[in-house]
Amino acid sequence: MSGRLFWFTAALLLGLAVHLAYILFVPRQQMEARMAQFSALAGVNKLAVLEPRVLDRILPEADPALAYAACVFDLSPGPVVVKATIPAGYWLVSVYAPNGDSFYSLNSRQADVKTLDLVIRNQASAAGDQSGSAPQAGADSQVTVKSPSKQGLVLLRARVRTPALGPRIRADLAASACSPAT
Amino acid sequence: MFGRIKLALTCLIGMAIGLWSAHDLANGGFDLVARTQGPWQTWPSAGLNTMDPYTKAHFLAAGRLPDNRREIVEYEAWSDSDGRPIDATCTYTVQGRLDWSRWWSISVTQNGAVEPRKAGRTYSLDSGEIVYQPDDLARVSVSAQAASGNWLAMPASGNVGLLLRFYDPVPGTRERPGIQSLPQVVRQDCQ
Repeated sequence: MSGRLFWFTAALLLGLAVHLAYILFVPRQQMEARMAQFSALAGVNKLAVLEPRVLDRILPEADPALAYAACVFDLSPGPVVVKATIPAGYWLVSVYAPNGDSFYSLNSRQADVKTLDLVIRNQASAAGDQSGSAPQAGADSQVTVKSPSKQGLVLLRARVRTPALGPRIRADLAASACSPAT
Repeated sequence: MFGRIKLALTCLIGMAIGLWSAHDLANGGFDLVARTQGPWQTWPSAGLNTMDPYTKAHFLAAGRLPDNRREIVEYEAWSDSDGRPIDATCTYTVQGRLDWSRWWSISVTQNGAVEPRKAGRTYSLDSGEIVYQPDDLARVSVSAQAASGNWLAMPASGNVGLLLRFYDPVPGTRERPGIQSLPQVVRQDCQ
């Protein structure tokens, strides 16, 4: 009986360990795999506009009502700037850490500008900066975002009201750029 | 010899328990991490810096990016309003009030993926494309055969679900997801 109890307990403890390993490590590994797929499209610190077929492969649950562009950033050499041209209609920028946290986001209504410089700095080197707020309305603006990690992902999304507008909205997103800050 | 068999069996059973329980809780959720309202389920901590590990696993392990609910509130449904799993051989009506955000979209998912829009067959509708009822309710048919009015194509097979996304939600929706009335998912005919 004590032998059976031993093996039963061992199976439960192993099950607990596997459960925790899956919950704690698989999400990060999947996020990093996703970032590797995005960076394979255009490289690091560069913006890639995602055609529907590519999007289907990398983000299968992507909303067909949106056009997507992505920039995998690496802050090792210094800050990165996303120069965004905001199209008319709904637009959203989200910044993700490699663990999947969306640590900054801003939509077109909150931004209320036509162009936006989103400067991403490493948290350790950005002490004292104003971060995470919306820009001042009316003018072209700059926002500084403190990243908790050196790597991450910027995702730009814009609404595509009807399929026929897709190419035009993707062209609008392509007017944005992602590069090391000079 | 007998000890090695016991050890191998214990490892197999332990790994199976661990993977099954992690997958089950990350997919189906539980009260502490996911909120259920009728057939719809939402994960309130998605995308926030307080996001719990099960919510992370729910989105990221399935290849999805979790969105901060201040920007996008997502609801998933895998069953109809009577609790029956959504069946690809049936037709459904999704009807209700959906004005909880600047705009919204509804998609049919097949094994977790949304098919891109295709001419003559759409798996996703934008609120701007919706023709509303006189009482401002949205009514969407989900069926294999094209239907008049707002129509979403039903995939031929697979694990079918519905995904409702509210973009730029009104304060009540983003601060307390799950308080607003959500559409009914009503099964009609089955083949």
